[in-house]
Amino acid sequence: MQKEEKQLYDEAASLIADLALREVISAEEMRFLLTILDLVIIRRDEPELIVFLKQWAQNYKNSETDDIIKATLLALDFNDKEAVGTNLNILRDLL
Amino acid sequence: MNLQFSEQITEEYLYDLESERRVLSSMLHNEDACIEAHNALISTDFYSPRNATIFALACSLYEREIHPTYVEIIKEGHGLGLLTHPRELEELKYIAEHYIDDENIKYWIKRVKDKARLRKFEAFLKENYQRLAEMPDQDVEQMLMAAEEQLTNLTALEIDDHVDSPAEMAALGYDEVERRFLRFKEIRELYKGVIPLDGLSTGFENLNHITLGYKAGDLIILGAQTGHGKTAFALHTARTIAVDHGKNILYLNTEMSRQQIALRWGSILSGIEHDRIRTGDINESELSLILNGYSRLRESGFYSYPCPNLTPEKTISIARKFKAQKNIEMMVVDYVGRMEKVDPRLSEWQILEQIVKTQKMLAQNLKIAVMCLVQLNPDGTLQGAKRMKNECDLMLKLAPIPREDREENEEIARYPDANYYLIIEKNRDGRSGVSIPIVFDLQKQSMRDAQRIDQR
Repeated sequence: MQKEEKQLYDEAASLIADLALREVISAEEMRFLLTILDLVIIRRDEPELIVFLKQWAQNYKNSETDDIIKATLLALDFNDKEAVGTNLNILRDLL
Repeated sequence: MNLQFSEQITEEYLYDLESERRVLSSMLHNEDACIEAHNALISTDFYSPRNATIFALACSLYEREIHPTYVEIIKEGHGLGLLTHPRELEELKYIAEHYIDDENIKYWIKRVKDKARLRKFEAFLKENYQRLAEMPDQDVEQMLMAAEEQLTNLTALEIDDHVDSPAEMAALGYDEVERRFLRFKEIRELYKGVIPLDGLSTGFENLNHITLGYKAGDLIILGAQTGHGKTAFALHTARTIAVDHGKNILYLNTEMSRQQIALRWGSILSGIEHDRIRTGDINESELSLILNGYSRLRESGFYSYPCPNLTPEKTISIARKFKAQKNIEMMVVDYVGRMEKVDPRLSEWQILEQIVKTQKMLAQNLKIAVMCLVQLNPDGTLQGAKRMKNECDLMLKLAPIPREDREENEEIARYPDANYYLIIEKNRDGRSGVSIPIVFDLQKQSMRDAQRIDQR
């Protein structure tokens, strides 16, 4: 890991954990965000999910659909790659 | 008496937070550091309770095969309610951020360990000072003896250095005899005379009977000439332990590729000739037989690590990792002659002796059985054999049955299918100098006990 990248990783992880400790975000939201951080910087995995998250962020309207997408994402089991793929297809359709 | 403890002076010597942080930071960034620290330290070696918690979290993650990154520690700590205050997070962040990529992890671990021992020494001094102050008229001899015993326990580096008192030794002996007595009774009544093993099955009934299996802490040496079944013996052992009995075993191979090892399993588990599998000269029903064999391998406890540049240090590191993460009960090194030289100035027998000593210590420390395969000279002798024999618990040799034995030895004539001897050269716990006739099918890479046919 490059120095800047490591700094970014450490800062982002601290920020996410701090938000959870101050109860700005829930424990589930913290776990999800930390997992995404590990996926992007350490494991460099699930690029399709990352593309989807970017698209979702651009189209976010705080609607009922957005709530469903968020609930689905928080419930994802990242150890089950097949389930992640299936859910991602459903989420793309929703978006 | 002018014995006063200066808190300010002593405290400086009793902990080293920088070393504690360095160990933790290395664990967060480097797997080798994880292996070393997991093996050498315990939570109470850390002075800072927060550091002790982070260490416990890192070890717990590592044992579940999750690398303890900063993020994983946060998730685990938060989930367990151990990271509840922003200040705790700040400390963890400091540790994660201040990683120095040095190779001195053993030095920092030793510093943490030494400080923990010093704290125990300080507690010993305080306790005895207190005793002296409170009971000035006590029996001096008794007081000094008690202090000496305490101090002796402190100077012992490991828990294993415990010295048995006569009473403890007697109790242990009685427990062992009673356990064996009850087991023998059980064998007679329940198992109709078949002796259950003390350790892992060897895959040969006759060898099981003599050795009672490969036991935790045992070093087993198996010697054979080139092309006379070293790897077949190792994989036969692996099959018995990992496939037939579902126990976890680590197999280190210095010669073969992953593909070669995988193909050998196809033959071992299907009983189809290795050459035919290698060339693909098989029919569809044989293919399905082979696939069936691989599905048994999938469910087994066989972990393979092909490593052409194996060194004694590397075996220690890998064994520790697999003990922590997979709880392996045995490790097989195939074979020690191919290990890299640690010191090029040493002669062959010195290197082998060094390797074998390391493996024996490893077996005892990790409480696993370790099997080392060695190559015999063309005349059947082994270089440095005497020294190796001293170190090991069980020394076996695999050799073809000579033609004259077949023709002239009446006992061997009762084993018409036998083609190899499994010779017990040394057996710390039982009979040695025994040659067990076995069947080695080179093509099918299989081994088994030879069938005895009694003459009428």
